[in-house]
Amino acid sequence: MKNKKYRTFAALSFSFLAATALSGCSSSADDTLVLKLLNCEDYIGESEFTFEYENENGDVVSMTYDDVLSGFEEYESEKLGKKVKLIYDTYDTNETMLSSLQTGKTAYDLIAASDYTIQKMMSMGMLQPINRDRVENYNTYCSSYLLDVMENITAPIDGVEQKMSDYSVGYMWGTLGVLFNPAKVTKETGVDEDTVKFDMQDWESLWDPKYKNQMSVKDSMRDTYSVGIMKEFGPEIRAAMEESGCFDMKDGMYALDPDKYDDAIGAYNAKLTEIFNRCDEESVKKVREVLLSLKENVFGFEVDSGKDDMVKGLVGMNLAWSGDAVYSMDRGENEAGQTIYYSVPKTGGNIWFDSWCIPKTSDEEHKSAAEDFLNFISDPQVAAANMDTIGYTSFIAGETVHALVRLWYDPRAYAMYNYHDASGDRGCTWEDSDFVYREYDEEGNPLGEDADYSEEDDILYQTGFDLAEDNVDEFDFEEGICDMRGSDYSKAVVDGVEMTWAEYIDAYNAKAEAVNALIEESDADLDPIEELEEWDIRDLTYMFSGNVDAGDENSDDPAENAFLFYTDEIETIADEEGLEVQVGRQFYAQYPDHYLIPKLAVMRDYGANNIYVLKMWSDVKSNNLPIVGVVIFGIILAAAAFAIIAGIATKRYYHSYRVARRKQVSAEHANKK
Amino acid sequence: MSSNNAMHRSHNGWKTFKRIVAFKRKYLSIPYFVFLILFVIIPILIILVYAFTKTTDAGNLVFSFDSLVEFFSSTTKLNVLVVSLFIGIINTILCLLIGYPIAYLLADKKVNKNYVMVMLFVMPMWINFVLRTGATRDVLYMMGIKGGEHPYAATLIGLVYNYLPFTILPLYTTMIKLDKSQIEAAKDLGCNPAQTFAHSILPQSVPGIVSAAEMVFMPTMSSYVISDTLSEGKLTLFGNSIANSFNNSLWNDGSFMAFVMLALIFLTMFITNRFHKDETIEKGRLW
Repeated sequence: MKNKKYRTFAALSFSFLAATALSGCSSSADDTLVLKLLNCEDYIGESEFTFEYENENGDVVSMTYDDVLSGFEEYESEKLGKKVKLIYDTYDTNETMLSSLQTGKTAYDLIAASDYTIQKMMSMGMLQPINRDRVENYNTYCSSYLLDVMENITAPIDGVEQKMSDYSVGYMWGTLGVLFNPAKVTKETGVDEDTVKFDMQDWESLWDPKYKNQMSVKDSMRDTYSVGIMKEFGPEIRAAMEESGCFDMKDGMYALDPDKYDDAIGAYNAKLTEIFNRCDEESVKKVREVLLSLKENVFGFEVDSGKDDMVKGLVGMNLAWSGDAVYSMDRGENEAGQTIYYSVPKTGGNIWFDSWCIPKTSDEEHKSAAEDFLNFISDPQVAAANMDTIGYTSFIAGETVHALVRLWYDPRAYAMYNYHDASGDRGCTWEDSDFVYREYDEEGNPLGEDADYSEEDDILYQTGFDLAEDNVDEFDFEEGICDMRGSDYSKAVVDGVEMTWAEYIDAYNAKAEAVNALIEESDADLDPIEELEEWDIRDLTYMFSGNVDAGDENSDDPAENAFLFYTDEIETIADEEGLEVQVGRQFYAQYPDHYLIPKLAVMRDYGANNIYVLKMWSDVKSNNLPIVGVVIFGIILAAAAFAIIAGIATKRYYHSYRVARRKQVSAEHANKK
Repeated sequence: MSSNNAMHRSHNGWKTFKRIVAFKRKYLSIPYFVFLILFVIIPILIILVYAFTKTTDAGNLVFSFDSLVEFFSSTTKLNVLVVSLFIGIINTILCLLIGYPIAYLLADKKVNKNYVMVMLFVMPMWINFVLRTGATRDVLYMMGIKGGEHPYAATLIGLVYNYLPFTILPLYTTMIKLDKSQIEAAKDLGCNPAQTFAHSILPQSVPGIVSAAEMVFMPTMSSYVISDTLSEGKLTLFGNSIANSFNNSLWNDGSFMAFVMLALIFLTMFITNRFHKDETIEKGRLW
């Protein structure tokens, strides 16, 4: 979720104008249903995407929609024959949204909010249950792990505990972790980069004096409180980890012991959730002390500037939500040349999610349209379009999303599809899970099948560099050096030779070596080709199991098991004692590795304890006047008092002087007479 | 004359009509009063209602002093108030110290032939202050004054920069009306420059100083974007506290703090008004 305090007024007033204007015209329209949506800012797909569905005759219709919202309006009228007009408003923080919902008269049919806010709204009796049978796509494609997380959260409605999964439909989820730029931190503090990467696996480092004034944390009570909890109860969490026996405590990451994964892990997560949700007066007092000392060590509390500060390299470390982290890492890399990393420290932390809910104010007809909308955005094709725009991770895990994740992060996709013509007029597009080669004309329009397109052109390969022709000078090595035609995710075909993907790395490196030798010989002005490092494997079974065909789910080989992804973003760093930690980047931020999952806990609504946390937070944010200030203040007050007294005294003195003088003068006058 | 009277007599009906709907000058103030009632009086009343009530579990508003007790028993809130007063006073003093000589120079016809220079000085006011504050943050960062490390210094610099135009303008308007002959007389009668300043220029410009101080002091206390941005969230002013209360649905506490703020505004107005009166009587000048 994004926090944009200062833009509220503009946003609110604009959305208000838009709402009144739109509702004004649509109420006069005949049978159009007006559906009012409230969502966080920048939190929905805004770019063009392709959407396929089956119509009543069983034909597959392929549509191109401009964005998710207008896509729904079109889909609804084409597929279901209902005319729906969406009014889309945004808010900046959950607190202000809830506050304005309580006071305002505006009623919405669908609201997207954070986990704890939905919980609060449930217990306030503001929500009605969602008919999940009507949200088929969600039932089919939602990750079972996330559904589980949501089922475990309850809130009392009329005295009966109700599951959150019955009252809301999940949208996006993520973690809270540390975003850091080792180069920047090294420049500021002199701590070497590997140590920084190592230290960022520990929440304690935020309190470490060697990182004084390096980190900005969120000016958000809940997020910063959760960090305080991880520090204050860190030893207890560690002890619980050890006791559970699920973790290898001598490993730098406290990695999961795979043999015990299924046995005690649930119990451990329950214990962690209990610790993580402590907010009684006593615990809050303890966390208060911890956060007061954190305030001394951090650079500042940021509202919305943290992401951009990281991109610009103004701060070296930032407490960030995973989606913002992806944004910062992407932009830092592309625009500012900053290599930024993201990590959730080894003792774990917060998993949060945002979901949609339907308020009680919505009537039967609107509710049913709202459920249609939820069904639409739970389609993997729409979920992928949303993820593509906003950089957060969807609840939905269908084929389309799976393909998107592979395309974004799996180096196999990069090896196979990264090809461009030297002139730049060729490229690859992806449709569903497959990639299609297309040629473009000079204006950039696809030539399509009518033109010079043939199936043979549908090549999937990294542009081949022909060693035999020895044309080093003419070639742009960005394009790659291996002919990958015939490859797929299960096997690599390098220049016509079939091999496994593990072998591909060696083949590539051998070829790179040969090309580098050629470059050296030819004294062409070209950089040598970088050799590939070995790829790591990321297990995302927790996310995709159940709604994507894995192939062989028990296999350890990504070639056979589609739940496993290769990744080349992981860096492994060891400290002096030989403990190894791994740091990741975008892929890790969007889809944490499975070892992290049991270490994540949801921070629920504080309920009646909210007041303690609020008080604690205003204590943390306020400051005492520094001694210098007290002295200056004292001097000023004393000076003011002196000036006033002196003024009055002088006035009195002159007054009495005048009176005396007047008497004297008149006496003299009388005497003269 | 006589023909005029005849005309009047012949238009008797029109005259009656005109008398009924006669336009009076005071009608011009109606739009303002409507505005005042809708957006000043009523909100203040709402603040008062919330400041001295609380919501019971059943959802009813009942009269209570809970917010008052809460405010005066909370060291945190009182601390914030003291810090805000401190920042307000320091900012006012700095603005006056910097703005006074500038306003004096600008009012000197030899230095500043026309209004252009004044415009240059108040120009920053024309740019949205949130944008300006963002830029100030970057400039301070480049200069090595990082808000996270020096929250007070960074905030004060930003506040002085933002409120300087508000100091210069009222001082300038007073300065151009300075009685030149009195200053000259003081010089002729043997005052050295310091004495001329102390006995002639300064007393004459007191009204300008008072209204400049008024324009700076209270807005400083309630500003929160500047302190939030420039101190990297490390400095909480009274405005931040109020905003925080409202954001977290603590309407009663927030309203009471807003009420305290209001009381402070009235207090400063009362004090400065007395200043104005004194000046008018003693110096026999209208301001």
